[in-house]
Amino acid sequence: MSNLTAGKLLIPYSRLARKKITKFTGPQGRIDKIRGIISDLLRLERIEIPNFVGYESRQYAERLIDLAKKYGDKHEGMMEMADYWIIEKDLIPKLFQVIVPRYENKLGPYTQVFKLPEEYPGKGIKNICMELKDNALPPIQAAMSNRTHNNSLTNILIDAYKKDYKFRTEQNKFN
Amino acid sequence: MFQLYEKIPYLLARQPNALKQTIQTIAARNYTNTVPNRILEKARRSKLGAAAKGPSVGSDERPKLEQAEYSQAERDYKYIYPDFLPNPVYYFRDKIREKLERIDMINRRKQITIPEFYVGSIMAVTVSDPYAPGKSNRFVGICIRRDEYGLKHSFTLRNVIDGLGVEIMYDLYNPTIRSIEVLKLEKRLDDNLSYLQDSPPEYSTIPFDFEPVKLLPGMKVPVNMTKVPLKNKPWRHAWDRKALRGVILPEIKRYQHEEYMNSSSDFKPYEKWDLMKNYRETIHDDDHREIVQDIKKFESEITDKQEIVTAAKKLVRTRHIPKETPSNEKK
Repeated sequence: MSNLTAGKLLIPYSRLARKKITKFTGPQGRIDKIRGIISDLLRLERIEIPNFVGYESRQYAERLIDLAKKYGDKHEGMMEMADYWIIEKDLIPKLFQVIVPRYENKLGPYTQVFKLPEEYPGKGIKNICMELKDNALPPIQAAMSNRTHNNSLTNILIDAYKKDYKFRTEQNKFN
Repeated sequence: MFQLYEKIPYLLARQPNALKQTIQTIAARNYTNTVPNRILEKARRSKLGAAAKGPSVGSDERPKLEQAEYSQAERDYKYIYPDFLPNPVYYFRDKIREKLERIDMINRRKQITIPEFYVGSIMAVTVSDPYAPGKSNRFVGICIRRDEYGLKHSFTLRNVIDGLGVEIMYDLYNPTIRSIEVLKLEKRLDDNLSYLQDSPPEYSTIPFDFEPVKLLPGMKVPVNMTKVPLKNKPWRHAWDRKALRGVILPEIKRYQHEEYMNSSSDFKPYEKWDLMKNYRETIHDDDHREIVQDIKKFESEITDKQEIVTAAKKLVRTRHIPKETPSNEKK
Protein backbone atom coordinates (compact mmCIF):
# COMPACT_ATOMS: atom_id res chain seq x y z
CA MET A 1 0.00 0.00 0.00
CA SER A 2 2.34 2.71 1.20
CA ASN A 3 5.29 0.69 -0.10
CA LEU A 4 4.17 0.97 -3.72
CA THR A 5 6.54 2.94 -5.92
CA ALA A 6 6.65 3.83 -9.62
CA GLY A 7 8.59 6.01 -12.04
CA LYS A 8 8.78 9.76 -12.30
CA LEU A 9 5.57 11.69 -12.94
CA LEU A 10 5.67 13.50 -16.27
CA ILE A 11 3.05 16.15 -15.48
CA PRO A 12 3.34 19.39 -13.51
CA TYR A 13 2.36 18.88 -9.87
CA SER A 14 2.54 20.98 -6.74
CA ARG A 15 5.48 19.71 -4.74
CA LEU A 16 4.76 21.35 -1.44
CA ALA A 17 1.24 22.11 -0.32
CA ARG A 18 -1.82 20.18 -1.34
CA LYS A 19 -4.59 22.40 -2.55
CA LYS A 20 -7.62 22.92 -0.41
CA ILE A 21 -10.46 21.50 -2.45
CA THR A 22 -13.15 21.46 0.23
CA LYS A 23 -13.73 24.08 2.87
CA PHE A 24 -15.62 22.23 5.58
CA THR A 25 -15.01 18.48 5.29
CA GLY A 26 -11.24 18.55 5.78
CA PRO A 27 -8.61 16.29 4.23
CA GLN A 28 -10.89 13.26 4.25
CA GLY A 29 -13.45 15.16 2.21
CA ARG A 30 -10.76 16.25 -0.20
CA ILE A 31 -9.78 12.65 -0.86
CA ASP A 32 -13.42 11.59 -1.22
CA LYS A 33 -13.93 14.25 -3.89
CA ILE A 34 -10.85 13.08 -5.82
CA ARG A 35 -12.08 9.48 -5.62
CA GLY A 36 -15.35 10.51 -7.23
CA ILE A 37 -13.56 12.38 -10.03
CA ILE A 38 -11.24 9.44 -10.77
CA SER A 39 -14.12 7.02 -11.14
CA ASP A 40 -15.89 9.56 -13.38
CA LEU A 41 -12.81 9.86 -15.55
CA LEU A 42 -12.46 6.10 -15.91
CA ARG A 43 -16.10 5.67 -16.91
CA LEU A 44 -16.65 8.64 -19.25
CA GLU A 45 -13.00 9.17 -20.40
CA ARG A 46 -13.71 12.89 -20.87
CA ILE A 47 -15.00 15.24 -18.19
CA GLU A 48 -15.48 18.95 -17.60
CA ILE A 49 -14.51 20.20 -14.13
CA PRO A 50 -13.24 23.33 -12.37
CA ASN A 51 -9.60 24.21 -12.78
CA PHE A 52 -8.21 23.67 -9.27
CA VAL A 53 -10.00 20.35 -8.69
CA GLY A 54 -8.97 19.00 -12.07
CA TYR A 55 -5.25 19.62 -11.79
CA GLU A 56 -5.22 18.11 -8.29
CA SER A 57 -7.08 14.92 -9.24
CA ARG A 58 -5.05 14.55 -12.44
CA GLN A 59 -1.95 13.71 -10.36
CA TYR A 60 -3.80 10.92 -8.58
CA ALA A 61 -5.20 9.47 -11.81
CA GLU A 62 -1.76 9.45 -13.45
CA ARG A 63 -0.15 7.80 -10.48
CA LEU A 64 -2.87 5.16 -10.15
CA ILE A 65 -2.35 4.14 -13.81
CA ASP A 66 1.44 4.13 -13.30
CA LEU A 67 1.13 1.77 -10.34
CA ALA A 68 -1.39 -0.45 -12.13
CA LYS A 69 1.03 -0.74 -15.05
CA LYS A 70 3.88 -1.79 -12.77
CA TYR A 71 2.20 -4.18 -10.34
CA GLY A 72 -0.67 -5.68 -12.32
CA ASP A 73 -3.91 -7.12 -10.96
CA LYS A 74 -2.36 -10.00 -9.00
CA HIS A 75 -0.56 -7.80 -6.45
CA GLU A 76 -2.34 -7.65 -3.12
CA GLY A 77 -1.40 -4.08 -2.14
CA MET A 78 -2.22 -2.78 -5.60
CA MET A 79 -5.67 -4.32 -5.54
CA GLU A 80 -6.37 -2.75 -2.14
CA MET A 81 -5.28 0.60 -3.53
CA ALA A 82 -7.52 0.24 -6.59
CA ASP A 83 -10.37 -0.83 -4.35
CA TYR A 84 -9.97 2.34 -2.27
CA TRP A 85 -9.65 4.86 -5.09
CA ILE A 86 -12.34 3.52 -7.43
CA ILE A 87 -15.75 3.83 -5.84
CA GLU A 88 -17.78 2.11 -8.58
CA LYS A 89 -16.41 -1.41 -8.44
CA ASP A 90 -17.24 -2.43 -12.01
CA LEU A 91 -14.48 -0.04 -13.14
CA ILE A 92 -11.68 -2.00 -11.43
CA PRO A 93 -11.46 -4.65 -14.21
CA LYS A 94 -11.63 -1.81 -16.77
CA LEU A 95 -8.50 -0.26 -15.27
CA PHE A 96 -6.47 -3.48 -15.58
CA GLN A 97 -7.94 -4.95 -18.78
CA VAL A 98 -8.61 -1.89 -20.97
CA ILE A 99 -6.59 1.10 -19.80
CA VAL A 100 -3.32 -0.57 -18.76
CA PRO A 101 -2.84 -2.44 -22.10
CA ARG A 102 -3.73 0.80 -23.95
CA TYR A 103 -0.71 2.60 -22.42
CA GLU A 104 1.60 -0.41 -22.33
CA ASN A 105 4.22 1.14 -24.65
CA LYS A 106 3.73 4.73 -23.47
CA LEU A 107 5.93 6.55 -21.00
CA GLY A 108 4.36 9.93 -20.85
CA PRO A 109 1.27 11.47 -19.37
CA TYR A 110 -1.87 9.43 -19.91
CA THR A 111 -4.24 12.35 -19.56
CA GLN A 112 -4.79 15.49 -21.59
CA VAL A 113 -6.10 18.87 -20.47
CA PHE A 114 -7.74 21.68 -22.45
CA LYS A 115 -8.59 25.06 -21.01
CA LEU A 116 -12.19 26.14 -21.57
CA PRO A 117 -13.31 29.76 -22.02
CA GLU A 118 -14.94 31.56 -19.13
CA GLU A 119 -18.67 32.04 -19.27
CA TYR A 120 -19.77 35.59 -19.86
CA PRO A 121 -21.68 36.93 -18.07
CA GLY A 122 -20.92 34.57 -15.16
CA LYS A 123 -18.99 34.12 -11.91
CA GLY A 124 -15.59 33.84 -13.59
CA ILE A 125 -15.10 30.15 -12.89
CA LYS A 126 -12.23 28.67 -14.89
CA ASN A 127 -13.08 25.21 -16.20
CA ILE A 128 -10.97 22.59 -17.91
CA CYS A 129 -11.72 19.58 -20.07
CA MET A 130 -9.77 16.51 -18.96
CA GLU A 131 -9.63 13.26 -20.92
CA LEU A 132 -7.78 9.97 -21.14
CA LYS A 133 -5.57 9.81 -24.22
CA ASP A 134 -6.40 7.55 -27.22
CA ASN A 135 -10.08 7.27 -26.41
CA ALA A 136 -12.87 6.40 -28.85
CA LEU A 137 -14.58 9.81 -28.66
CA PRO A 138 -14.25 12.37 -31.50
CA PRO A 139 -11.00 14.33 -31.02
CA ILE A 140 -11.03 17.81 -29.51
CA GLN A 141 -8.04 19.12 -31.45
CA ALA A 142 -9.76 18.71 -34.83
CA ALA A 143 -12.78 20.62 -33.57
CA MET A 144 -10.48 23.36 -32.31
CA SER A 145 -8.66 23.69 -35.66
CA ASN A 146 -11.95 23.97 -37.64
CA ARG A 147 -13.35 26.56 -35.29
CA THR A 148 -14.29 29.86 -36.90
CA HIS A 149 -13.88 33.17 -35.14
CA ASN A 150 -16.25 35.25 -37.28
CA ASN A 151 -18.79 35.63 -34.50
CA SER A 152 -16.36 36.76 -31.83
CA LEU A 153 -16.86 40.31 -30.54
CA THR A 154 -13.53 41.74 -31.70
CA ASN A 155 -13.99 40.43 -35.26
CA ILE A 156 -17.51 41.85 -35.47
CA LEU A 157 -16.25 45.24 -34.31
CA ILE A 158 -13.40 45.18 -36.83
CA ASP A 159 -15.79 44.30 -39.64
CA ALA A 160 -18.06 47.14 -38.63
CA TYR A 161 -15.12 49.52 -38.55
CA LYS A 162 -14.09 48.41 -42.06
CA LYS A 163 -17.59 49.08 -43.37
CA ASP A 164 -17.63 52.43 -41.66
CA TYR A 165 -14.21 53.32 -43.10
CA LYS A 166 -15.29 52.40 -46.66
CA PHE A 167 -18.48 54.40 -46.32
CA ARG A 168 -16.56 57.48 -45.15
CA THR A 169 -13.91 57.31 -47.90
CA GLU A 170 -16.64 57.08 -50.57
CA GLN A 171 -18.41 60.08 -49.06
CA ASN A 172 -15.15 62.10 -49.13
CA LYS A 173 -14.70 61.34 -52.85
CA PHE A 174 -18.03 62.90 -53.72
CA ASN A 175 -17.24 65.93 -51.64
CA MET B 1 52.35 8.60 44.69
CA PHE B 2 54.19 10.50 47.44
CA GLN B 3 53.84 7.54 49.74
CA LEU B 4 55.35 5.30 47.13
CA TYR B 5 58.53 7.39 46.80
CA GLU B 6 59.07 7.11 50.53
CA LYS B 7 58.61 3.37 50.40
CA ILE B 8 61.09 2.69 47.53
CA PRO B 9 64.38 2.38 49.46
CA TYR B 10 62.66 0.27 52.10
CA LEU B 11 61.21 -2.07 49.48
CA LEU B 12 64.53 -2.35 47.62
CA ALA B 13 66.27 -3.43 50.76
CA ARG B 14 63.73 -6.17 51.40
CA GLN B 15 63.02 -7.45 47.87
CA PRO B 16 64.94 -6.55 44.68
CA ASN B 17 62.00 -7.41 42.37
CA ALA B 18 59.47 -5.47 44.39
CA LEU B 19 59.95 -2.23 42.44
CA LYS B 20 59.24 -3.97 39.15
CA GLN B 21 56.07 -5.51 40.52
CA THR B 22 54.77 -2.25 41.92
CA ILE B 23 55.35 -0.41 38.65
CA GLN B 24 53.52 -3.14 36.77
CA THR B 25 50.56 -3.01 39.12
CA ILE B 26 50.38 0.78 38.81
CA ALA B 27 50.58 0.59 35.04
CA ALA B 28 47.77 -1.94 34.96
CA ARG B 29 45.57 0.25 37.14
CA ASN B 30 43.53 3.06 35.63
CA TYR B 31 43.27 6.29 37.51
CA THR B 32 39.84 7.20 36.19
CA ASN B 33 36.36 6.89 37.52
CA THR B 34 35.41 4.18 35.05
CA VAL B 35 34.91 0.56 36.02
CA PRO B 36 35.53 -2.32 33.61
CA ASN B 37 32.41 -3.93 32.19
CA ARG B 38 33.22 -7.34 33.61
CA ILE B 39 33.31 -6.09 37.20
CA LEU B 40 30.25 -3.94 36.69
CA GLU B 41 28.25 -6.86 35.38
CA LYS B 42 29.34 -9.02 38.32
CA ALA B 43 28.26 -6.36 40.77
CA ARG B 44 24.89 -6.05 39.07
CA ARG B 45 24.24 -9.76 39.25
CA SER B 46 25.17 -10.17 42.92
CA LYS B 47 22.29 -9.99 45.36
CA LEU B 48 24.25 -7.63 47.59
CA GLY B 49 24.96 -5.24 44.72
CA ALA B 50 23.92 -1.63 44.73
CA ALA B 51 21.40 -2.28 42.01
CA ALA B 52 19.57 -4.98 44.00
CA LYS B 53 16.52 -2.75 44.21
CA GLY B 54 16.70 -1.74 40.56
CA PRO B 55 14.95 -3.54 37.73
CA SER B 56 18.14 -4.58 35.95
CA VAL B 57 18.69 -7.55 38.30
CA GLY B 58 15.89 -9.54 36.78
CA SER B 59 17.13 -8.88 33.30
CA ASP B 60 17.82 -12.55 32.65
CA GLU B 61 14.19 -13.43 33.25
CA ARG B 62 12.53 -11.97 30.19
CA PRO B 63 9.80 -14.41 29.26
CA LYS B 64 7.89 -11.96 27.08
CA LEU B 65 10.81 -11.30 24.74
CA GLU B 66 11.76 -14.97 24.50
CA GLN B 67 8.26 -16.19 23.71
CA ALA B 68 7.73 -13.53 21.07
CA GLU B 69 6.19 -14.55 17.78
CA TYR B 70 8.25 -14.09 14.66
CA SER B 71 7.31 -13.49 11.07
CA GLN B 72 9.51 -12.91 8.02
CA ALA B 73 9.94 -9.59 6.22
CA GLU B 74 11.09 -8.72 2.72
CA ARG B 75 14.72 -8.11 1.81
CA ASP B 76 15.40 -5.04 -0.32
CA TYR B 77 18.21 -2.53 -0.95
CA LYS B 78 15.94 0.28 0.14
CA TYR B 79 15.79 -1.17 3.64
CA ILE B 80 19.31 -2.61 3.85
CA TYR B 81 21.01 0.69 2.97
CA PRO B 82 18.60 3.46 4.01
CA ASP B 83 21.55 5.84 4.45
CA PHE B 84 22.19 5.88 0.70
CA LEU B 85 18.77 7.36 -0.03
CA PRO B 86 18.74 11.16 -0.39
CA ASN B 87 16.29 13.53 1.21
CA PRO B 88 13.02 13.34 -0.75
CA VAL B 89 12.25 17.03 -0.17
CA TYR B 90 13.31 18.57 -3.46
CA TYR B 91 14.78 21.83 -2.19
CA PHE B 92 17.25 19.92 0.02
CA ARG B 93 18.55 17.94 -2.93
CA ASP B 94 21.67 18.37 -5.00
CA LYS B 95 22.64 15.57 -7.37
CA ILE B 96 26.37 16.34 -7.43
CA ARG B 97 26.57 16.48 -3.64
CA GLU B 98 24.70 13.17 -3.42
CA LYS B 99 27.13 11.53 -5.81
CA LEU B 100 30.19 12.82 -3.91
CA GLU B 101 28.72 11.75 -0.58
CA ARG B 102 28.05 8.29 -1.95
CA ILE B 103 31.70 7.94 -2.97
CA ASP B 104 32.80 8.98 0.54
CA MET B 105 30.39 6.53 2.15
CA ILE B 106 31.61 3.67 -0.02
CA ASN B 107 35.25 4.50 0.80
CA ARG B 108 34.41 4.41 4.49
CA ARG B 109 32.60 1.09 4.08
CA LYS B 110 35.75 -0.37 2.53
CA GLN B 111 37.66 0.46 5.75
CA ILE B 112 35.26 -1.07 8.30
CA THR B 113 32.43 -3.54 7.84
CA ILE B 114 29.13 -1.82 8.53
CA PRO B 115 26.62 -4.66 8.80
CA GLU B 116 22.95 -4.64 7.88
CA PHE B 117 20.79 -3.57 10.81
CA TYR B 118 17.30 -2.31 11.51
CA VAL B 119 15.39 -0.44 14.15
CA GLY B 120 14.84 -2.94 16.95
CA SER B 121 17.98 -5.02 16.46
CA ILE B 122 20.43 -5.39 19.35
CA MET B 123 23.87 -3.91 18.63
CA ALA B 124 27.28 -3.22 20.15
CA VAL B 125 29.44 -0.25 19.15
CA THR B 126 33.07 0.31 20.15
CA VAL B 127 34.38 3.87 19.89
CA SER B 128 37.95 5.03 20.47
CA ASP B 129 37.95 7.29 23.52
CA PRO B 130 41.16 8.76 24.99
CA TYR B 131 39.72 8.96 28.53
CA ALA B 132 38.40 5.40 28.74
CA PRO B 133 40.37 2.38 30.06
CA GLY B 134 42.06 0.68 27.12
CA LYS B 135 41.22 3.82 25.08
CA SER B 136 38.05 2.25 23.78
CA ASN B 137 34.45 2.29 24.91
CA ARG B 138 31.92 -0.42 24.15
CA PHE B 139 28.19 0.11 24.45
CA VAL B 140 25.41 -2.41 23.95
CA GLY B 141 21.77 -1.55 23.34
CA ILE B 142 18.66 -1.65 21.17
CA CYS B 143 18.63 0.50 18.07
CA ILE B 144 15.75 2.90 18.68
CA ARG B 145 15.79 5.10 15.61
CA ARG B 146 17.70 5.98 12.47
CA ASP B 147 17.82 9.60 11.37
CA GLU B 148 19.13 11.87 8.62
CA TYR B 149 20.15 11.17 5.04
CA GLY B 150 23.49 10.50 3.36
CA LEU B 151 26.73 11.12 5.24
CA LYS B 152 24.88 12.60 8.22
CA HIS B 153 23.07 9.32 8.87
CA SER B 154 22.93 8.42 12.56
CA PHE B 155 21.44 5.81 14.86
CA THR B 156 20.74 5.74 18.60
CA LEU B 157 21.21 2.86 21.03
CA ARG B 158 19.28 2.54 24.27
CA ASN B 159 19.99 0.50 27.38
CA VAL B 160 19.10 0.67 31.06
CA ILE B 161 22.16 0.68 33.35
CA ASP B 162 21.59 0.50 37.11
CA GLY B 163 17.98 1.57 36.71
CA LEU B 164 18.92 4.56 34.62
CA GLY B 165 18.03 4.82 30.96
CA VAL B 166 20.97 5.65 28.69
CA GLU B 167 20.76 6.62 25.06
CA ILE B 168 23.75 7.27 22.82
CA MET B 169 23.54 8.66 19.31
CA TYR B 170 26.25 7.53 16.91
CA ASP B 171 27.01 8.96 13.49
CA LEU B 172 27.29 5.99 11.16
CA TYR B 173 30.26 7.42 9.23
CA ASN B 174 32.11 8.78 12.26
CA PRO B 175 35.82 7.89 11.84
CA THR B 176 36.26 7.28 15.59
CA ILE B 177 33.99 4.24 15.44
CA ARG B 178 36.13 1.10 15.56
CA SER B 179 33.55 -1.59 15.01
CA ILE B 180 29.80 -2.06 14.76
CA GLU B 181 28.48 -5.49 15.72
CA VAL B 182 24.94 -6.73 15.32
CA LEU B 183 24.28 -9.15 18.17
CA LYS B 184 20.69 -9.94 17.21
CA LEU B 185 19.28 -9.02 13.83
CA GLU B 186 15.55 -8.38 13.93
CA LYS B 187 12.88 -5.81 13.21
CA ARG B 188 10.06 -4.43 15.30
CA LEU B 189 6.54 -3.39 14.41
CA ASP B 190 7.37 0.32 14.31
CA ASP B 191 10.03 2.40 12.59
CA ASN B 192 10.68 4.50 15.68
CA LEU B 193 10.95 2.94 19.15
CA SER B 194 11.21 6.18 21.12
CA TYR B 195 8.25 5.05 23.21
CA LEU B 196 10.59 2.73 25.14
CA GLN B 197 11.39 5.85 27.22
CA ASP B 198 7.90 5.67 28.68
CA SER B 199 7.69 1.88 29.01
CA PRO B 200 8.90 -0.33 31.90
CA PRO B 201 12.71 -0.79 31.87
CA GLU B 202 12.56 -4.57 31.30
CA TYR B 203 11.91 -3.92 27.64
CA SER B 204 15.12 -1.97 27.08
CA THR B 205 17.59 -3.70 29.41
CA ILE B 206 20.29 -5.73 27.73
CA PRO B 207 23.29 -7.29 29.53
CA PHE B 208 26.69 -6.15 28.29
CA ASP B 209 27.81 -9.75 27.77
CA PHE B 210 24.90 -10.50 25.42
CA GLU B 211 25.80 -13.48 23.27
CA PRO B 212 25.32 -12.93 19.52
CA VAL B 213 22.48 -14.83 17.88
CA LYS B 214 23.21 -16.22 14.42
CA LEU B 215 20.78 -16.31 11.51
CA LEU B 216 20.93 -19.16 9.02
CA PRO B 217 22.23 -18.15 5.56
CA GLY B 218 19.44 -17.29 3.11
CA MET B 219 16.99 -16.63 5.92
CA LYS B 220 14.83 -13.51 5.89
CA VAL B 221 15.03 -10.95 8.67
CA PRO B 222 12.60 -11.89 11.45
CA VAL B 223 10.12 -9.39 12.84
CA ASN B 224 9.72 -9.30 16.59
CA MET B 225 6.00 -9.02 17.32
CA THR B 226 6.26 -7.93 20.97
CA LYS B 227 3.84 -5.28 22.14
CA VAL B 228 5.17 -2.94 24.79
CA PRO B 229 2.85 -1.72 27.56
CA LEU B 230 3.27 1.96 28.35
CA LYS B 231 3.33 3.54 31.80
CA ASN B 232 0.65 5.93 32.97
CA LYS B 233 0.81 9.59 32.05
CA PRO B 234 2.73 11.97 31.99
CA TRP B 235 4.52 10.87 28.82
CA ARG B 236 7.34 12.41 26.85
CA HIS B 237 5.23 12.56 23.71
CA ALA B 238 1.54 11.96 23.06
CA TRP B 239 1.87 8.32 22.03
CA ASP B 240 -1.85 7.74 21.80
CA ARG B 241 -2.14 10.27 19.00
CA LYS B 242 0.36 8.44 16.84
CA ALA B 243 -0.60 5.35 14.91
CA LEU B 244 1.76 2.88 16.64
CA ARG B 245 1.47 -0.86 16.22
CA GLY B 246 3.78 -2.19 18.92
CA VAL B 247 2.20 -0.44 21.89
CA ILE B 248 -0.36 -1.40 24.53
CA LEU B 249 -1.85 1.83 25.86
CA PRO B 250 -2.94 2.07 29.50
CA GLU B 251 -6.59 2.57 30.25
CA ILE B 252 -7.60 6.07 29.33
CA LYS B 253 -11.07 7.40 29.99
CA ARG B 254 -13.04 7.02 26.83
CA TYR B 255 -14.17 10.62 26.44
CA GLN B 256 -10.57 11.81 26.81
CA HIS B 257 -9.39 9.43 24.14
CA GLU B 258 -12.11 10.43 21.69
CA GLU B 259 -11.36 14.08 22.26
CA TYR B 260 -7.74 13.43 21.38
CA MET B 261 -8.65 11.52 18.27
CA ASN B 262 -11.01 14.17 16.98
CA SER B 263 -8.85 17.16 17.81
CA SER B 264 -5.43 15.84 16.90
CA SER B 265 -3.92 16.54 13.53
CA ASP B 266 -1.46 13.65 13.99
CA PHE B 267 -4.07 10.91 13.69
CA LYS B 268 -4.75 10.51 10.00
CA PRO B 269 -6.15 7.15 8.84
CA TYR B 270 -6.40 8.33 5.22
CA GLU B 271 -2.67 8.99 4.98
CA LYS B 272 -1.66 5.53 3.87
CA TRP B 273 -3.96 5.79 0.85
CA ASP B 274 -2.68 9.18 -0.22
CA LEU B 275 -0.79 8.39 -3.42
CA MET B 276 0.76 11.81 -3.95
CA LYS B 277 1.89 12.21 -0.35
CA ASN B 278 3.70 8.91 -0.65
CA TYR B 279 5.20 10.07 -3.95
CA ARG B 280 6.51 13.28 -2.40
CA GLU B 281 8.02 11.52 0.63
CA THR B 282 9.77 8.68 -1.22
CA ILE B 283 12.28 8.52 -4.03
CA HIS B 284 10.85 7.32 -7.31
CA ASP B 285 12.22 4.34 -9.23
CA ASP B 286 14.22 6.32 -11.82
CA ASP B 287 16.40 7.97 -9.15
CA HIS B 288 16.52 4.81 -7.07
CA ARG B 289 18.00 2.87 -9.99
CA GLU B 290 21.14 5.06 -10.04
CA ILE B 291 21.75 4.54 -6.34
CA VAL B 292 21.30 0.77 -6.60
CA GLN B 293 23.84 0.65 -9.44
CA ASP B 294 26.48 2.27 -7.19
CA ILE B 295 25.70 -0.12 -4.35
CA LYS B 296 25.90 -3.17 -6.61
CA LYS B 297 29.26 -2.02 -7.96
CA PHE B 298 30.57 -1.64 -4.41
CA GLU B 299 29.28 -5.07 -3.39
CA SER B 300 30.84 -6.75 -6.43
CA GLU B 301 34.19 -5.10 -5.60
CA ILE B 302 34.05 -6.52 -2.11
CA THR B 303 33.26 -10.02 -3.34
CA ASP B 304 36.16 -9.74 -5.84
CA LYS B 305 38.47 -8.78 -2.97
CA GLN B 306 37.32 -11.79 -0.96
CA GLU B 307 37.94 -14.08 -3.93
CA ILE B 308 41.45 -12.66 -4.37
CA VAL B 309 42.20 -13.20 -0.68
CA THR B 310 40.98 -16.80 -0.77
CA ALA B 311 42.97 -17.47 -3.95
CA ALA B 312 46.09 -16.00 -2.33
CA LYS B 313 45.59 -18.26 0.68
CA LYS B 314 45.38 -21.29 -1.61
CA LEU B 315 48.58 -20.19 -3.40
CA VAL B 316 50.42 -19.93 -0.08
CA ARG B 317 49.32 -23.43 0.83
CA THR B 318 50.48 -24.85 -2.51
CA ARG B 319 53.86 -23.08 -2.28
CA HIS B 320 54.70 -24.91 0.94
CA ILE B 321 54.39 -28.32 -0.70
CA PRO B 322 57.06 -28.04 -3.49
CA LYS B 323 59.60 -26.69 -0.98
CA GLU B 324 59.64 -30.07 0.75
CA THR B 325 60.15 -32.13 -2.44
CA PRO B 326 63.56 -30.70 -3.55
CA SER B 327 64.95 -31.35 -0.07
CA ASN B 328 63.97 -35.01 -0.49
CA GLU B 329 65.66 -35.15 -3.93
CA LYS B 330 68.97 -33.91 -2.52
CA LYS B 331 69.02 -36.77 -0.12
